[in-house]
Amino acid sequence: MLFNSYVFILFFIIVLFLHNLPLKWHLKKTNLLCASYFFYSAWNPPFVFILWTSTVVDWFVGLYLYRVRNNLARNLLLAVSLCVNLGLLCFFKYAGFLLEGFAALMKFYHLDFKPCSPDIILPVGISFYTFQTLSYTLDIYQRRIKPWHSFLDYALYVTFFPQLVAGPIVRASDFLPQCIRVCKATWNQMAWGISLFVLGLFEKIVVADGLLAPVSDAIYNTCGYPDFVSSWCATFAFSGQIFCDFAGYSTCAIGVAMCLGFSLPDNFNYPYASVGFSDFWQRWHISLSSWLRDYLYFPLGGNRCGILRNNYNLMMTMLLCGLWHGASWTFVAWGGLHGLYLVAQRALKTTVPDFSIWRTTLSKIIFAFLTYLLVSFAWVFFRSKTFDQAFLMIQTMLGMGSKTPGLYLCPMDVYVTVLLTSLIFVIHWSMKDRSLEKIAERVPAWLISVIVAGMLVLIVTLAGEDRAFIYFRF
Amino acid sequence: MLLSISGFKLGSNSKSVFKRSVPDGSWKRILITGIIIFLLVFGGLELFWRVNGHLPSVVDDYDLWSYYRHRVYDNGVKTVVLLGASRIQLDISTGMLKKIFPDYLIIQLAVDGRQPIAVLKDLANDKCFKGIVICSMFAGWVGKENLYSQQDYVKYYHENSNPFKRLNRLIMSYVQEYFVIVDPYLQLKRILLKYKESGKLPGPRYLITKRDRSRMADYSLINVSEQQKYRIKRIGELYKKNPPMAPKEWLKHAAKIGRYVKRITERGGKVVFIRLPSTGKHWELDNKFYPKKEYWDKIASVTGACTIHFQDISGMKQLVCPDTSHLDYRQAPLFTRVMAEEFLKQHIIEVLTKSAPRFPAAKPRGIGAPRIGAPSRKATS
Repeated sequence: MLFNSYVFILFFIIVLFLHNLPLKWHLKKTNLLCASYFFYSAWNPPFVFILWTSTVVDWFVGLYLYRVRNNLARNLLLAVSLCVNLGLLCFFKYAGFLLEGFAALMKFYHLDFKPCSPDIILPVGISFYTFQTLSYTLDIYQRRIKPWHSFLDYALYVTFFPQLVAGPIVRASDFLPQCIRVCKATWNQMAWGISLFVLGLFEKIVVADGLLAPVSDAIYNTCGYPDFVSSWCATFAFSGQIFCDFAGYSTCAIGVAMCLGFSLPDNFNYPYASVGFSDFWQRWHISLSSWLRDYLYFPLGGNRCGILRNNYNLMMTMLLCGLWHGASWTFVAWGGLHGLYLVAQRALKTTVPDFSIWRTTLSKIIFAFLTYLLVSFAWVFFRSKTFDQAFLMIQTMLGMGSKTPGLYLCPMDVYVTVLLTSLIFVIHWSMKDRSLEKIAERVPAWLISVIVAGMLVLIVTLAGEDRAFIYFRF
Repeated sequence: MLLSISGFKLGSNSKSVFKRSVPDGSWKRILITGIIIFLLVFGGLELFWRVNGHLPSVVDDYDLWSYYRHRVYDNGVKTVVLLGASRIQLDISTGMLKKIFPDYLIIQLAVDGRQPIAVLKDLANDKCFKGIVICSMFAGWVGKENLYSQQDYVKYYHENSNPFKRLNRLIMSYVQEYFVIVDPYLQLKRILLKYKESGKLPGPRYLITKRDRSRMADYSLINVSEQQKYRIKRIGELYKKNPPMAPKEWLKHAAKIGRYVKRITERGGKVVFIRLPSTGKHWELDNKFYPKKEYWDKIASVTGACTIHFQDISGMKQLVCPDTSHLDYRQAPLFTRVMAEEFLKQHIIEVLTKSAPRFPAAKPRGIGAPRIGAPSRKATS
């Protein structure tokens, strides 16, 4: 069930109605839990069993982790949780990829091994909820939290439908305490939640699907040699598309949760205005980057060790971040490129003197634009289906294409992309240090009404082809 | 085991619960005002397009097809499934057919530009299906590669369709049936492109898809002679590219289709192959390359299906296709009526006393008659 579907609107109205009935709090939570399972089963009902497995295993592991004092037993319990969650993830997401890799390795040793295609359907959102349940277990293991007292609350935390399939990856410490008292939205909260939902839909349906996706598809989904302008435009279009697609989903999720009285954390904070790559990763997919920081980068040693080890930790984290996004070497390359960016930035920081000129607004804007440019450049690996396609795009983007271009964007697509790319950059830059809530407070009420109406009109009149959210694949 | 919030986060005495703030201001009022403005603009745009002659049209896609494919069991043996390509979508008025046979469920599964045998095969292999199949056929399709070109619809239905997608598509089709403004044809980007090209806003389109997947063509809105030239040219090229098969070989291929017919008839269902009208030069070419006597007239004996050829029925023969290949929406009800009479004659549809067929008047009307959307629309559809 997609947020941008009529059936979701119908589902949400029913859920909202039930949630606002004068029932006991635990009944309302049970209602929400059932609704969440129903929401998930809309894709493929049998996959609910995987969700249950992950939920139940981490619940019991969490309980015993807290009770057991013996370190060996604690490590074993952690291993059970890791094996189950990562095992499920590996089987459903990486089986084909691992088999391919194994076959390539055998070929290298001149051994003929042709694996049959595993043909496994990827359960939607598996990367998100396995990371969420893992964070609960890891937090208890690291003695940051105690096990929660109610299985109902815990199951709702794992399954809560607004964030179940594409995040944000919520921490137990943020969500579970909300389950103690009755969560019921006031009219104001509900209206703000609906406004956020409209904003998210606008980003997804109008900007991502209606305006930018056709431009990036025209080059990336077509065989041929694009020219310099078209390849840059398509790449910037994808850059905007993936932001609006994913940030749109997160905004919808936050809005839907708010209508039910729950609060979800921000997942994006104007990332295309980042100055440098560590800033970018504090603003892009915040819930994933903070997860990787807390449960992978810090346990590896973080930056509290030598330069070489620190760089290794950075590269390792980013390579795995790439792999998390998809079972393909192009995703690994995307993560690796970001790892290199971070390593290079760290090296520059230590070698280049800290002149006051770096702190002027103009310098910051230039650095932010440079970051945007390099981040967009890295998206080439993310968007390309193969390395051949990625290298072809990079060749043309660097003006090194050896063949005569035969693939062009129409002028209107070029104008639209340039306009939207500039607009995204300007909006991100002007809003980077302020929250949406603070900005909304400063805009006159009538203007917000007009903006909401305008977004609704554009959702109706500018809708593109129906597309699933990009991050559902991950 | 019961915990206070402060006890949950170890090493922290904080009792605070994560909570998002809501900006100051009356958001209820802001949102309601926004929705009112939206409704006013929406209504204004809807009115504007309607005044300019546009009518709602449903977007036909895999999910809508899957919704109707899933309904073929709903009425048991009293289900009529229409298979074929654009001709059966345009020539048969499903509204008229429903009026004539009110007890029957009419399902339109034709797909524009694709040939229907993959769907016939799918229905033949589906043991739950026991209805009547009316399959638009053309002798030239038999034995050709793209005879199974609707296979991706069948595959989508079996592999990707689910109740939620079908429900979503159903709701969407209702919205599209009532509002012009949600039609992708009138998407803002397309309007701007059209305006840039011609300096005009897009005019009403001649082809409209209804919620039940049948279509209506209003040939008074286009240059018919250009369409005729285009079609004749295209069909001539097609025959050049794909010369006809020798009748003997053709019969072998046709016999393979007979397997599917047999499976359906063995379960109590029926299959009718119908040759829908093509006229003028188009029909001359069709008949030149695939003479009716040598090809079509042998289909019934080879496949075991009932057959109807428009040339054999005077009521059908006299109709003229404006573009040489399809009927105008004003002719479709009459054609459907004549076809229904033939169904009764051939006992394709058994009529019980309770469900005696009613034949509403369906006079042939010229292309200059009121266009779709005029008061007569309901009667004609």
